[in-house]
Order: sequence, then structure tokens, then C-alpha cells
Amino acid sequence: MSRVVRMAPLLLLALAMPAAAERLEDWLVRMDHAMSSMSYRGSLISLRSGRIDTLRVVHRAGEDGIRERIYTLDGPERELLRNRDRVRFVFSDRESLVVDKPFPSRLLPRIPIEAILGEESMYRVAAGGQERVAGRTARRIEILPRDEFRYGRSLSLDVETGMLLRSVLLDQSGRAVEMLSFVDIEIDASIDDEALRSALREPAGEVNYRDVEPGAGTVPTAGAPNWLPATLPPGFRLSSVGHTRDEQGRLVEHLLFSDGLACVSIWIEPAAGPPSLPTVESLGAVHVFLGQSEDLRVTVVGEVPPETVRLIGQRMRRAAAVDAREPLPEPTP
Amino acid sequence: MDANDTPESQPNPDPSLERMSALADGELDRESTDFLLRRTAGDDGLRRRWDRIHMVRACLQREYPGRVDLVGAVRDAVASEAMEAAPGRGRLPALARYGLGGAMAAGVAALAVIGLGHRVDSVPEPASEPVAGFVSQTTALDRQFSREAVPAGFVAGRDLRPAQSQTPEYRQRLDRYLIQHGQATSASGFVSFTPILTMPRTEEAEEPLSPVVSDD
Repeated sequence: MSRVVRMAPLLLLALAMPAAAERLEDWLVRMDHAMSSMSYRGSLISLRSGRIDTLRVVHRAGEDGIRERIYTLDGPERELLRNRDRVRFVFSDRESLVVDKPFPSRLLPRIPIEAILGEESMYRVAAGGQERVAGRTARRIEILPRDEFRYGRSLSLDVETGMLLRSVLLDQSGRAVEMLSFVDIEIDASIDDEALRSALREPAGEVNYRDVEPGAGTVPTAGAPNWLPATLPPGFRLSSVGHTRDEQGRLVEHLLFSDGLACVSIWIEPAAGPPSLPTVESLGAVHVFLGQSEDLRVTVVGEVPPETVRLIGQRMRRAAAVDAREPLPEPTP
Repeated sequence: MDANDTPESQPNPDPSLERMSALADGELDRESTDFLLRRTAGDDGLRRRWDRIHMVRACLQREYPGRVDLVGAVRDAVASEAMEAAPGRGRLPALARYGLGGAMAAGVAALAVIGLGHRVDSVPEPASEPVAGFVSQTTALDRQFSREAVPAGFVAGRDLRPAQSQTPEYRQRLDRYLIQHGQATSASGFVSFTPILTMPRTEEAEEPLSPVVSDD
């Protein structure tokens, strides 16, 4: 009897651990469902790189798919209009940019739970406490990175619906890198077409990146990659491959790598100018590597630390022949 | 006169070495350069020779960033020779060997320093940083062996931006990639699209506010 009593705490702990994991999983599933199936509108603030931006979001999930309008409330007027896979980026009095999803990428789940909670995960997941965000009660979930090649996230989810109310990007030491938070939100809102229409004046023109032209030989194809990065941070795996052609008809390859939470895109295309020094640009927590050799131009984009895009982009190799490495680019004297 | 002293009997100089020297001086024609590149790529011995040629050239041109310690190098070589001597042959006591090596090294070093035209400087070397193999002006042959080098643009703390980063075409391409990345990841719209909307743009830079001067 005394032995059973001594073992009781351990038994309780063993029973409690899977239950806790299930609850975390439930929360992430609820969030995934809420963000893909609910209509909402609200205002949110973005804090990054020492600047604050205020935006308005109108999101409708209906029979005609996802339609969304996101626009700035301060600073220069900009809008992003999304109609299923078509995204239109509109500036006031300037050419707008239209991008129809050109790559037949395999869809990643928004939060691939198995990858995050699995034993080989590059993250540690923990349940946080409750808090108030945008006037609603929220539950915090912490997803912390195990190394310096990725960011983690603190997600504040609406207790009632599972909707994401606040997302804080965390570095390995748990320090906030960037925050996106609703300050007011109406969930399950009724949104008419008018609310999804741009309020900006007619743009001066439109640049359209609708690459798909059936029958013209420019249909994107998915398949085996021609190029791969020679080095990858641990945990990143190839998620999708897409091929398309640019305006001059030249082949462009797009690779998407993911560790389950962080995603990195790579574009490999023919060089469009003389070789240049590789650079890494910072757009808040999004980092962009740009490299150009005599033959290739490589662009790496991801919401990951600068070291990650640099490591991935600085050296590519042909996928078919491991030894045929193509450094990018040669240092110019 | 000893027959061995005749020009005919002198060992022929290695043609590869001569070609390397010519290439280092930029005097080798394209066909010979291609041949030498192919041959050297598969021959470790030739690669080491190329290293040495460049190190000497770098020293002469005051470009070699590593530590030049001729005294230490000769002393080590003498010590090593002595250690490998066959058993039975007389060995000098360690202290004498050390002293002799040092004396020889000092002599060689003095000659070398004079021969190099006083170009050997004392360069402080970071303890843990590797020394670059090739430091003088690069040639086609260098590039074959320097592919593992980290590109020069990746020096920490340096902000190297290509000129095209300020052009509208460049910005548009970046916008397109960011949008496509958001589409490919199927991430939540406002999370992945906020950086595009809030990205600072030089062409939209607002006039800075003038400071308000008050007499109060």
C-alpha cells in the first residue's frame, strides 16, 4: 500500500503529461481552424525594428474562398487585397503589383502540429497563462526554438474561438523580436463585398505576375529540384518545388524549406547582370539573402534570423550532381 | 671540371613549376592555362607548390597576413631532422641541438630578411583565426581552389548593398518574392503580409519634421 502511495505522484505525472500535450495540440488545431474558416475584422498593431504600424484587417471566409483586405492606417497608403490565391498590392498613385500564385506548391498546414510536438522537433512547446488581448480572454502558447537558426512564437489564442489575437516572434533566448497584436477584433463578422474593395484611387498602372498561360509552355511544374542549398540548418526539409518562367521565358525554380514552423523560400534564376556581392536585407524579422554569380541569381526569403538565409543562400549545388557546386558569387576584386 | 657540373647533366627544371610561375606572373597563354588548371586540380603536390609560389609572392608584395617566423620554422626543421636520424649516428645533446638550430635559423633568417628587401613585418595574428591560403591578386587558378572561402560580402557588421537595391525594379521584385513566399507557405494573411505593407521605402520617405523652437 505504501508503495502505491509513493508511486502515486509519478503515476499522476505520467497521466498528466500526454493530457497536457493533447491540450496544446487542441489549441493549435482550434487556431488553425479558426483562421481558415472564420470571418473577422479588426485593427492590429505591428511592432518591429523600433517602429509601430497600425493596420486594419478585413477577412472573409466563404463559399468563394478566402477574401481579405489589409491596409495601413498610418504612414503611406498601402493595401493588400487577397482573393483566394491572387494577391494585389496597391499603392496610392503608383503601379500596383498583382501576383497570382504561380507555383503549385504543396500546401503546408498553417501550424504543422506533428512537426512541432514531435520528438525530433526543433522547438519546445509550452502552455502559458491566460491574458487579455483586444478585450478578449486569451490563452498563451509558447513555441521556443532550440537553436539560433529559427525564431519561436508566443501565440495568444482567443479562449472562446481559438482565433490568433497576438503573435510575438521570439529569439532563442526568449526575447521578443517582433509583435503583431489585435487591439480590437470582431469575430464571426458579417462582411460584404464593399468592405473588401480598395479605397485607394485608381493606381497609375498594374504589374501583373500571372505566370500561368496554359498552352504557352509557361505552366508551372512541380517536380524534382535542379538546385539545392549545399548547407541547411538542422531540421529544415524540402517542402515543395515549383518551376515557372520569367518575363523573358527563362526557367525560374522555387524551393520551399520548412522545419515545421519556420519557412524559407529560395528562388534560383538566371543572372540578370554582372556578379555582385551577396547581401542580406532585413525587413523586420524577415530576412532576404541576395546573391548573384556569373550564371545564377539566388534569392532566399524567410522569417528567420539573418544567419539562416545566409547559410542557405551562399552556396548552391546541382541536385543531380553533389560535387558540382556553384559558389555564389565569387568575391569581386 | 666535374662532369656533373656540365649544363647537360644538371637536372631539368620542372615544366609545371615553370608554367605555374608564368601563370602567377600573368604570362601564360590561355591554352597552357587550361591545361595547367586541369592538371593541378587533380594533383595535391602541384597545389602545394602553387600555395608556396603565392605565399612567396605575397611576402614580396607585403600581402601575406600570417606570421612569418623563419627562426622558429628552421629551428623546428632542424629539431625534426635530428629526431629522425638513424640510430647509431651521434646525436647532439638537446640543448646544443636547440642552440645550433637557433643559430642556423638566425643566419637563414638574416639572409632571408635581407633577400626580401626588409619586407617581412611582424603582423599580429589572432590566435584562433585561420590564415588565408591565397592573399595576393587572384588568378583563374586561385578561383579553382578558393571556392570554399566565405564570400567577401559576408563579413559580420558590414552593410554591403548592391546599387540596384534602391531601384523600383528591385523593390518590385522583392515585393513579389515576399508575396509569393506568403502564398507558398499558406500562412495566415495578416501575419505574412504585414512586413510587405509596413516595409520602409526610400521613394516614400517623408520629410522629417522640423524641430519646434519655442521661446518659452
